[in-house]
Amino acid sequence: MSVFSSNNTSQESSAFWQKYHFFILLFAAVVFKQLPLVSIPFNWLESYFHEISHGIAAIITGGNVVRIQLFANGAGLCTTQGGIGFVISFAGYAGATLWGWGIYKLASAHQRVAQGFSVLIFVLLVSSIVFWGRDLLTWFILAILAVIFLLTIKLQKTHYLQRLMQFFGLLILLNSLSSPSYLLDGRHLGDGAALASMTFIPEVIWVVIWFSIALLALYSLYKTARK
Amino acid sequence: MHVSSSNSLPLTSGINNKPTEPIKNSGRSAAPVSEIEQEPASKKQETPNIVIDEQAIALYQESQASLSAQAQPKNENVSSANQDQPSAKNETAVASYQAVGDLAKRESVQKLFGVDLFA
Repeated sequence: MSVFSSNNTSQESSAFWQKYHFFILLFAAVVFKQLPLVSIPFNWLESYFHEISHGIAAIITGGNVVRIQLFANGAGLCTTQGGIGFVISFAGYAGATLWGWGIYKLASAHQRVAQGFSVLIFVLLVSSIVFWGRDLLTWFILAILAVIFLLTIKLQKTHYLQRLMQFFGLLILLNSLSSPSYLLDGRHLGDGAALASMTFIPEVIWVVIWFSIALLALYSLYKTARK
Repeated sequence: MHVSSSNSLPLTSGINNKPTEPIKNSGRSAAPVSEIEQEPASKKQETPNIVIDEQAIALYQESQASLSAQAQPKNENVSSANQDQPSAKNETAVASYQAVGDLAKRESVQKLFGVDLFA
C-alpha cells in the first residue's frame, strides 16, 4: 500500500515537473539574478555571448576580431576590423538572445545534445582565451566561465546537465531582455547609438526591437515547454 | 692722444674706401677729424687737410689682423659644415624616398588602428 502511494507521489511530482518546469526554471533564474555575488559570473556569461556575437558577425561579414574585453561589472567590448558595421552592431543583443534560446532549446532536445553543446561552448571559451583575450581580467573571467561549463560536462547524471543548461539559457535570455534598456541612459553610447547613427532610426526603436526579440524567444520556449 | 682719436673713425673709412687719397694729401698737418667731416667735399679736394699718422695706421692694421685671426676658425667650421651638407638634389631624393616609406607606414598604422569598437 505504502509502495503504491510513494510511486503515485513520484508520478505526480514528475507530472508537475513536466508541466511546470519552464516556470520553475524561469522563477529560479529571476531569483538567482537578484542574488548579489553568485549572479556575477552569469552576468559575465551574458556579456560574453553578447561580445562573441559581435565577433561572429564580424567574421561572417568578412571582417575579423581583434580583441574581446570583459569587465568585472558585466560590461564588455569587442574590437573588430572590417565587416559590415550594421550587422556587427545589431548582432550583440540579438545574438545573446539567440544563444540563450539555442542553449535552452538544444538542452531540451536530448541529454546527449545538451552535453555536446556544453562541450562546444567550452571549446569556444578556450578559443576566446587563446585568440581574442588580451588582458588578465578578460582571461580570468573567461577561465571562470570555462570552468563552469567544464563542471557541467563532468556531471555524472546528464539529466542534471540538461536542467543546468536550460537554467543557463534562461539566465542569458533574461539578461538579454533587460540589458538593452541600459542603453536608454541619455548618453547616446553603445550599439543602439551606433545603429541610430547608421540608419537615422532612433536608438529607442532599436532597444524596442531587441527587447521584442528576447520576449519572442521567451514566448517560443514557453510554447515548446507546454507541448 | 691725437693718435687714438684719429684712429677711431675717419681713418677706418679713409683707408678702406680710398686708400690712396690720404697719401696724396700728405702735405697737410694734423687736424681734428670732426672738422674734416663737416667740410664740403669740394673744399676737401681743394685744400687737403688729412694728416697721415703712421702709428695709427699701424695700430689699425694690427687690430684688423687680430680680428681676422679670431674670425678665421669660425669660418673654417662653417665651411666644413657646408661640405657635410648634402646637395639640394640629394635632399630631394631623400625626401621622396622617405615619403614613399611614410605611405607604407601610414597604411600599416591605419590597418592597425582602423578598428571598430562594439560595447
